[in-house]
Order: sequence, then structure tokens, then C-alpha cells
Amino acid sequence: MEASRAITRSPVAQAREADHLLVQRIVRREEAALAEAYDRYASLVYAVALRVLRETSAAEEVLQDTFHRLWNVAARFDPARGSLPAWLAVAARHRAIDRLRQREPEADSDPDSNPGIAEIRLPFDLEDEVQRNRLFERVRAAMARLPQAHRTVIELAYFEGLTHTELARHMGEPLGTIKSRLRSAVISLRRELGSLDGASNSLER
Amino acid sequence: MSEHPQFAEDIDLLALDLLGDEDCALLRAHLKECANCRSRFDEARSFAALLAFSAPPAAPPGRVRRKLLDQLRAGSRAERPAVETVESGTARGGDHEAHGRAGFWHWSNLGWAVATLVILAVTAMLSEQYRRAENEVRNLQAQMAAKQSELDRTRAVVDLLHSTDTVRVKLMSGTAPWPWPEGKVYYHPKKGLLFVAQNLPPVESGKVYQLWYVPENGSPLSAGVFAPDVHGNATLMTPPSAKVMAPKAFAVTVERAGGVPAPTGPEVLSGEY
Repeated sequence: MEASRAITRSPVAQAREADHLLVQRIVRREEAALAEAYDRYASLVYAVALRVLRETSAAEEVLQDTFHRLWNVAARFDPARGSLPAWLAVAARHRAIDRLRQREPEADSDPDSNPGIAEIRLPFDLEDEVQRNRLFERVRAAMARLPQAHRTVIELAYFEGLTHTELARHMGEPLGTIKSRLRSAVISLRRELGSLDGASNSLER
Repeated sequence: MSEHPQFAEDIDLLALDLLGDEDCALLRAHLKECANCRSRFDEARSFAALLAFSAPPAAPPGRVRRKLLDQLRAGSRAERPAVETVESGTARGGDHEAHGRAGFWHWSNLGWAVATLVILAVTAMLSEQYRRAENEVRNLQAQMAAKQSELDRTRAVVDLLHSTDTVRVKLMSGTAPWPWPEGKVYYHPKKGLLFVAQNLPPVESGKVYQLWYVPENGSPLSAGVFAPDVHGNATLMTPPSAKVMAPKAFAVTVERAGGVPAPTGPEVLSGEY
């Protein structure tokens, strides 16, 4: 059992390797590889951008821009150290929020200026569409089970980039209440989703 | 577990980009020095990335892919992509040659009658061998034609999937219950269309699914009918058609068996080009 585990790569490792090969081909300027990455993750990137911007043409621009950034910075992205879909999703969110708030695009979403964003690891097989959709459903369900006030505050913060002060003003609540709700929302979501490894195992059942 | 529980809350907020500038600077300085908190921050950042996945599902229109690839080409004309082609070795079946054997016989003195009988017997035997060989050749030719057709189809699919100009359109259902049916159209005006779908519910007797090109102007045009297998999966490949003029979307409806010239039934899947 141990031996077979040692020689059989997990779906997560295989997915990471598949993304690794894809990124290497993008570094070699193979348009077909970028097209493949797009086909794999465009829905995720578009969903995030559309959730932030709520307007299709702007979301389409963020989608195009995010993959164009991948084309340009792929050489500095190491899929062995971070998850490609996580980077794409977070980069799309940053760019969409910048656009929403009419800010100049921040360099935060570039792996070279912010190595952290390129080192987000996810113990999930996101290369596989079925696994990916199951994970998304699980996260959506966890979010849907939050009390309305908690869900609102975390969605405004996460998808619209509102600061504590802006949240307090927007919701007409004291700053302390907002912070407390954010904290409670994070704790509830963590409890719902379990530890990341645990979530991974249950998703693979 | 972090050895600095006082930072736990701020670590979560920093991972969510919600920490104020001052607290942010303090915590970042701490993270540089504390491996435990840095490890916890890495985990919090993974958790924060998960929240992006709570966005409602949405399928981007196919035009974005085309614009992106045009943008790449405009920016990097120097290196054309080495589009991989799949070289398939053609396994040729061995040609079978029917070897007719010319028999040379010694004529003895047994007489014409015996000689005639022998000739008739040999002729009958050779005829039977020839007939069998002919049947075998015919069967092999049929098998080769089938293999060739399968190979041509595989090549067409590979060619379609590998072409950077092929448009991918995701078709989704807005109303169907879990597991949500969904499909993908790979469309190239000169190479044809490949449609794959999953989670399709079975259709009632006498009905089929029908795929439609939806043009910018004018009526939808049928791309073919299909039925899913017992697992709800379906595949449809159609050659290019001169009648199709720049579709802006694709849709799947349920229609009567054999298909209809214009959609009448309920729309099951749709996706914008």
C-alpha cells in the first residue's frame, strides 16, 4: 500500500505536472499552449471577473488581459511552487477590482513583483474539470450557508475590494462590528470547508 | 498551530487583502522573521484563493479567445507557434496476393477421360481457393476502408482541436438541476464542428437532441441530431458547411426523432460565440 502510494502520483501532483508542462510550452511561446490554458481555466477567470464587475464587456477585457499577462510572465511563474488556476483567479480578481475602483492596475498580480501570489498552493486537482466543478460547488455551498450579514460583508470585501471603513459606511455599522463579522465569516468558512487537506480528501471520495 | 495567536486574525485579513496599511506593514515584518506564522499565512492565502471559486459559474463568449490569440500574434510575429501535429503511422494491412498455382502435369497413358477428370478436379479446387482468397481480399479491403475512415475522422478531430483558430464555446443550461448538463463546441469554419456533451438527461421515446448554429441574423441552422449514451455523454462531428454564416451562438433543443428544419422544442443548452 505504502509502496503503491509512493510510486503512484496523486491527481493533484499529476494536475500540477500537467500545468507545469503547459507553462513550459507557454514560455517557449507556443500559442497553442496558451490556448489550451485558456480552454482549461477561462471559465474560472471570467466567472471571477464577472462577479466583481457585473458587466460582461469589462469582464471579457479582464479575462483577455489576465491570459495576456500569463503569456508575458510565464517564465517567472513556477507551477511547482504555486497553483496556476489560483494565480489566474487571484490575478483576475485584483485586476477586476482595480478596474471597478478605477485604479491603475497594481503590480500585485504579477509573479515577478509579488512572488507570493505565484506561490499559492491548492491541494486540489483543478486540471480535471469534474473535480474543479465539485470544488467550486463546495465553496459556493459554504458561502451560501453563511448568515446573510456575514456573507454580504465578506463578498463586499473580497469581490468589490471595500476597505473596513468603506464597509462600515456602506452597511451603516460600527467599524468593530464589521471587523467582527468578517472574522466570524472567515471562521465559519474555514469550518465549512475543513482543513484544506481534509477538503481535498473528501473531494476525491 | 501558530506560536503567535495574536497574529492569527490579522494573517487571515492580510491573506484577504483586508488589512489596513499600518497593520499590514507590521505583520509583513513579522512574517519575514517567523516561519510558523509564514506557514500559517501560506495556508490562509490558499483559503483566500478558494473564495474566488465562489463566483457564480459563467461561460465566456468565444470571441475573447479569438481576440486573445490575435493579440498574441500581433505582439509576437517573430515566432510562429509550432502547432503540434500528430503523425499517425499508417498501418498498412499486408496485401494478400492470391497465388494461383499453375500446375504442370505429366500426361500419362491413363487416357483422356482420366485426364479430364483430373483437370476438372484441379479446376474446382483452384476455383474454391480463388473464391476464398477473393473474399479475404474483399474483407481486408473493407477493414482497411473502415480503418482509413476512422483515421481520417481522428485526424480531422485532432486538426480541429489543435488549430489555434478553432473557437471553443461552452454550452450551459440555465435551468437544469444537478448534475448540470453541459457541452462544448469546437468550431472552425473550414474544418467543421465537434460537439461533446455530458450529463444530458435521457430524452423520451421518439425525441432526439438537435444542435443548432445560431447566426447573427436569420434563422438557426441545424448542425445535426444526436442521442446521449446511458451515462448522458454525447459526441457529434459535422463537416464544414457553406450554409453556415458566422454563427454567434450554439444551442441544443429537444426535437422529434430525425430532427426538424427549425427549432421548436425546449432549449437545453446554449452558449454564445
